[in-house]
Amino acid sequence: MADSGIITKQDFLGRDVVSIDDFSTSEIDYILDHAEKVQKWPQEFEGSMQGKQMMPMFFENSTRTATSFQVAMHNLSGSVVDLDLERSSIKKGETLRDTIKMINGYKPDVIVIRHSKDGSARFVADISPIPVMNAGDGKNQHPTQTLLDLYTIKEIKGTLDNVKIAIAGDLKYGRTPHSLALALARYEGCDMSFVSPESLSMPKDLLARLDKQNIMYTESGLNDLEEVINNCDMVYMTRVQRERFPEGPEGEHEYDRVASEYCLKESMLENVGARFKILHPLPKVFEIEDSVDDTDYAYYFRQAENGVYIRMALLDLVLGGYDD
Amino acid sequence: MTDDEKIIGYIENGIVIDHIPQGRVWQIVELLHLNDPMRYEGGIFSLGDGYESRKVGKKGILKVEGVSLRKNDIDLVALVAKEATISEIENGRIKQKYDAEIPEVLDGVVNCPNLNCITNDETQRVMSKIYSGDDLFMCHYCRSEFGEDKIKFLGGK
Repeated sequence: MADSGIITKQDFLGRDVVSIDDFSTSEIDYILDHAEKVQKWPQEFEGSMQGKQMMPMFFENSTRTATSFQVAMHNLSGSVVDLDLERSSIKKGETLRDTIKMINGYKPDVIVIRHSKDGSARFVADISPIPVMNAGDGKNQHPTQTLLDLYTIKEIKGTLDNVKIAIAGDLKYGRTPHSLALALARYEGCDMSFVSPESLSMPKDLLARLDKQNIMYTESGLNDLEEVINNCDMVYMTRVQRERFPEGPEGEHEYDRVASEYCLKESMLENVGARFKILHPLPKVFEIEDSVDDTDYAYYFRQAENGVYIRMALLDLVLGGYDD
Repeated sequence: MTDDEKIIGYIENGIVIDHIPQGRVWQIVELLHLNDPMRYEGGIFSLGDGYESRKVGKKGILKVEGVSLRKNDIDLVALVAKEATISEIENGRIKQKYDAEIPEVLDGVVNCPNLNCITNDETQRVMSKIYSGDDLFMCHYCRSEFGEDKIKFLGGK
């Protein structure tokens, strides 16, 4: 990992994209700049993956990530193998090691993997001679999501410095808020407000890491969401899932309570700044009122679109598309 | 070695692990499977505990006949007793003596405490790989960080 100095396209050639932590801040900035070029001048990148093949291995369901990786590869004129893991030997108990070794024999140019186990992407990257892109390994990492989140924040704000952001929802188990908070902490003057039910607040070890870096943050309950967002450039909403609460009537009751309290309503946006934006990794369920979608504040569909540019940029960098 | 310490048994060929913090000798016996007849059939070991030690306060000593330690065994000893010294005995004499030292990488020695880590999925058969730092340990795969108190040795001990 290069810490400083001039980053070039060559630095990414053949790299695995397993965790955002594997990249220096300069490298992250380079990826974001490259994604901007991809977005602005897509015709420049047509054909860059000609003759290259992607092997998507989604052991868990995915809509946005899987589709946007496929669209990204197609946009670059590459091909995507149609692998149906539902009908594969995995269901017969084949180990991940055997599956990957077999797949490597087919000589794809890149493997994109989503798996339920934490660390699975790192394991696959270790045993695979071809580049591996992590499309989410359990609760652990989802680096392309973090990169597209950073890209979107930079698009809104024009910079990743001095970002005032509220991050709301399930902050305890959600991998997205963790990765995003740590990624933003790399930049100057970041000010984060964490809004969650007490039972789903940011893990103490993550807060300790932010403390160590002297990062400004506050913690609030869901009732304070409206007040908090009035002082922010944007809010990053996340989903609260039923399975995060204990089984049985008490857990059910707590979930119902949170579900009824945790909703960003259009009426709560009256006092936000004119350029305020709402982000969400999607899918959203009840946490954003439907009418908010039609306001200028809603930015989550654009955020999802940015996932294509980030993935195009990564494929181009890792697989060595055209030179700049 | 003092006369007190000599009374726990003489070995001709094997190992002596000294300076084990008091109360941890039996843990090492179990981790090295010295009491497992399937692993060390006919092996003889003797142990003593509660000796005075300038290094660790009160210490234990373990002597094992007919055994040499593999790298993983030494790693285990270091994790339980980082102040320990290990002596290899040949024909009743010390052939080599060294300090137990926690290595930078522990391959297949301790479990990652993250139950959702791929290394804890028995069907995947992925060997654990843990990095040791100054204060914390970290799983190579899922990057979970944890302290000494969370260490679980393979086999659940």
